[in-house]
Amino acid sequence: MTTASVTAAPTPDAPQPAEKKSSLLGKLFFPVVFSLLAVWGVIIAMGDPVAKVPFDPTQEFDLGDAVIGGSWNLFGIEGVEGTINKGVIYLALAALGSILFALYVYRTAAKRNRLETKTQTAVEAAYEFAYEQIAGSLPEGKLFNRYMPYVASIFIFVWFLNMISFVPLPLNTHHNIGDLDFLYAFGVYAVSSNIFCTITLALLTFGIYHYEGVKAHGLRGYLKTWSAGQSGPVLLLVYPVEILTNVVLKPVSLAVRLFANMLSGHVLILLMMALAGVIGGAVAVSVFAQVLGTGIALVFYLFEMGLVASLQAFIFAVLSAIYISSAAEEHH
Amino acid sequence: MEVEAAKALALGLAAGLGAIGPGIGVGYLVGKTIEGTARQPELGGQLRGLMFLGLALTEAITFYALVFGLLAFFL
Repeated sequence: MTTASVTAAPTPDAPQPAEKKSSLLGKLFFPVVFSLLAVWGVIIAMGDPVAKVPFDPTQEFDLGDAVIGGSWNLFGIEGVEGTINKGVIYLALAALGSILFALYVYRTAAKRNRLETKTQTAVEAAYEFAYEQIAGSLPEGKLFNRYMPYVASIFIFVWFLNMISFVPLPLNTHHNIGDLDFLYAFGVYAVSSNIFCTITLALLTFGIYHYEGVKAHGLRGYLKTWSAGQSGPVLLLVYPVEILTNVVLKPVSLAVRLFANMLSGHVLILLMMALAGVIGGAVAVSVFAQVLGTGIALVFYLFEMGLVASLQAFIFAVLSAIYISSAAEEHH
Repeated sequence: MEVEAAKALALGLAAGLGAIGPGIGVGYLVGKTIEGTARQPELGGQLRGLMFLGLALTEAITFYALVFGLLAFFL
């Protein structure tokens, strides 16, 4: 009796939020928006039907001309040109999106309502996901605290890069809409299907894991950890492979995985949309090909947007964490 | 053989042959995950996470082949 009076502070029963019946509209909201976006994107991917330009998939991955302004010499060096092309705009949009998202998460998490709202629960789940799933491979302690924000940011940024690539934006400088030369045609373009974008992100991780490795072991010690626990003449065999892995293969595979996934997804969607043009032939054949191609393109659009975009962002962040921790950890 | 035809063949062969290995790999991966989940259903969530990690790593090999095919085709 006494213990109960000590421990159980009389809290008034928390008023349960009225069980809201989620309407049919609420249930269908995301699937419908997703599908509409996909249909829109697929139609847009066909290009400008008015212009009747022959479809060229390679053109879709060309950065094109400057969208805003002209070009200038970057860093004042002659011959190094800088332009604000569509890649730059996609990158800026993704950066803006990540910043707004992070601010939103921060604001929601800082509110500390006594009653957890739905958004708060969702935000906490997202944070927990980043904490356990993405940064989970970092060793506990200093390294975790230092690099958990980094890998989580990488995840959010790459996720935005990938997702924004499925939203058709009027940035295709190869065509104009009708005769308006200030309004560019809509197009789906993935800036992460550009190797220079992904290799830059990979080089960030590359720099960090070497820095952490040297910091943890010293330069000699770090180079010694590449011997994979071997000694003697076997080292002649092992060491070149390890050098190749650590210096070339890790960053390159990190970059190429993301780049190739996004590129092949977009190529597939665009090619399926242009199936009629690719096959050619009689009207009946091309109509059939167009219907078939549109269907396949739609399916792949949903697949790429729903699974591959998030999965690749996740993999990129997880592998960054794994590389950092494996460079810094104690080797036998 | 003309150069253009050889390039097209190279793209097709590289992408097609490159898909065989990862295809087998993905099959094994998913099959083993199902097996594992059937034996210990309580580990299902964990296994699924690992499966997706492995899936992306395996799948990427297809794309290496595709990239080299595209390199052969366009360069």
